[in-house]
Amino acid sequence: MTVYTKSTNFATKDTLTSGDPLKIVKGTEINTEFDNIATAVNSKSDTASPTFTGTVTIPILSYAGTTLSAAVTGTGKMVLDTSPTLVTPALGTPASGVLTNCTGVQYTGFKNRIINGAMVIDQRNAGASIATPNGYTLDRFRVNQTTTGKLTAQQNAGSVTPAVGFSNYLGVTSSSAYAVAAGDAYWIDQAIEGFNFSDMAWGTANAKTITLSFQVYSSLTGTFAGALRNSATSRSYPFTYSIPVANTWTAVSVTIAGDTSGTWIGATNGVGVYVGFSLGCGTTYTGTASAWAGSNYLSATGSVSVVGTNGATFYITGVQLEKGSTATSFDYRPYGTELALCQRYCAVWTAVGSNIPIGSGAGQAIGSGQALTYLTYPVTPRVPATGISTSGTFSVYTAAAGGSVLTSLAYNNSSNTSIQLNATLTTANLVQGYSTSLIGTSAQITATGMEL
Amino acid sequence: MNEPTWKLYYRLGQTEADAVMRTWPDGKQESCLVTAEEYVKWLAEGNTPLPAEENK
Repeated sequence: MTVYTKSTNFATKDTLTSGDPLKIVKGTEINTEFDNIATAVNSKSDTASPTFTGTVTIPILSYAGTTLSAAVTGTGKMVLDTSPTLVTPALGTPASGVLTNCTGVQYTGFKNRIINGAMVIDQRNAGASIATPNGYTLDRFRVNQTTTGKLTAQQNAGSVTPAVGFSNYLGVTSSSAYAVAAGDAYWIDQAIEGFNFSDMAWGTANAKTITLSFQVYSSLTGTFAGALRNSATSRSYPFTYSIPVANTWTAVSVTIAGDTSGTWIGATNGVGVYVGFSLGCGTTYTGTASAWAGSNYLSATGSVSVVGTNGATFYITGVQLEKGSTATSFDYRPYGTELALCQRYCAVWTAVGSNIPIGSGAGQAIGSGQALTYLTYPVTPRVPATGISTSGTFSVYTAAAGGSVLTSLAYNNSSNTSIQLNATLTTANLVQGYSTSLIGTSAQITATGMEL
Repeated sequence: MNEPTWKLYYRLGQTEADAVMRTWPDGKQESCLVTAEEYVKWLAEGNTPLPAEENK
């Protein structure tokens, strides 16, 4: 850019005397001035649709009444692309809707693949302690023991204040100071159904990363462990986490790259993945942390053994397994929704009080001492039940005989809508063909065989 | 003794006793098919259930 500077001072010529040769205005002087003016003018921009080259410095720029220098914040390069990739914040390409790194986003899908992760539902035991658990305790969570009697389990065991934001937890207490043998294994786990995990595409090159998060509390400190396993228990991924302070809730998050090898069953009603937390495992079930292995590992080398200390506690809640590499806030679902999810794996019919009707009420006497009766599932089961567990007093009621007490109530058969039970009476006082209904006093029937 | 008793039984319409009833001293009862994991494990430990009553 050039600025015009006058070369000849024409005004001084007026002061010169006539005849002075310098008083004459020469053509070359005029040319020089016009050339300078042309050069300067040509280097300036038009006010209408100017085109700039090089660096343009504008102290204050106003557009449509808004001073842009005041409206703009941040540093770095301006985004002009129609499909920009925003790195910080990491929004991916907004046009594709990738918001995996955002917080505060209202997630509307089945984010948490763990069912009953807040430990609210306890259909089988209604909060009672389980002296020798070796199977399902709180809904969907198993406590596994090589030798029973080493642990007790209970919803809200020890009655400590639950983790912030939660009302319940699964509590396990060690019953002795047991040194695990090589082939021993003590652990809590949940099997996620294949239908609820197949989108992770494990066992393929497109395996998705998952993040497991939970709140944990123990009387012990140190490095604890757990593991993910496939349905055949031929693939496993031991992981570790730290509990630095005893008797204090600790938030844990573990991110695991999906397994690209092995056999993962996909979209079936079988086991999509086992998610386990070790309470003490021997060397047979212990492997290197943070790596996939073609072994049945339940724990990581060198981790804390809860069963190794008499009276040791291990409490857990807020268990969440989600797609992605970031642990997001816990996915609270409505109680009715969570209960229905649990009922796919465990159905319970309860009679609180005396002579309360249970089931559909559409039974029939098949002899003087026997009646068939039916229970309708609250939701479609994963698989039809293969048995029942009963407690309390049962009777069948007929208009002719009133209530007739049972000596046994046995599983007979099941479809995916109902269970057929065979009721045997203490006194054979029925008339064959009469309609019956099942009633109970402080009684409970639990369907079995539906769990993974 | 707090050990339960195991007894086979015929399900309605079945010609074989393919179900078993476990009765605990406190009256709690559990019935299931003989393929149930817990029963299979109990059998493998060398136990034998009570026989089923005659199929009527």
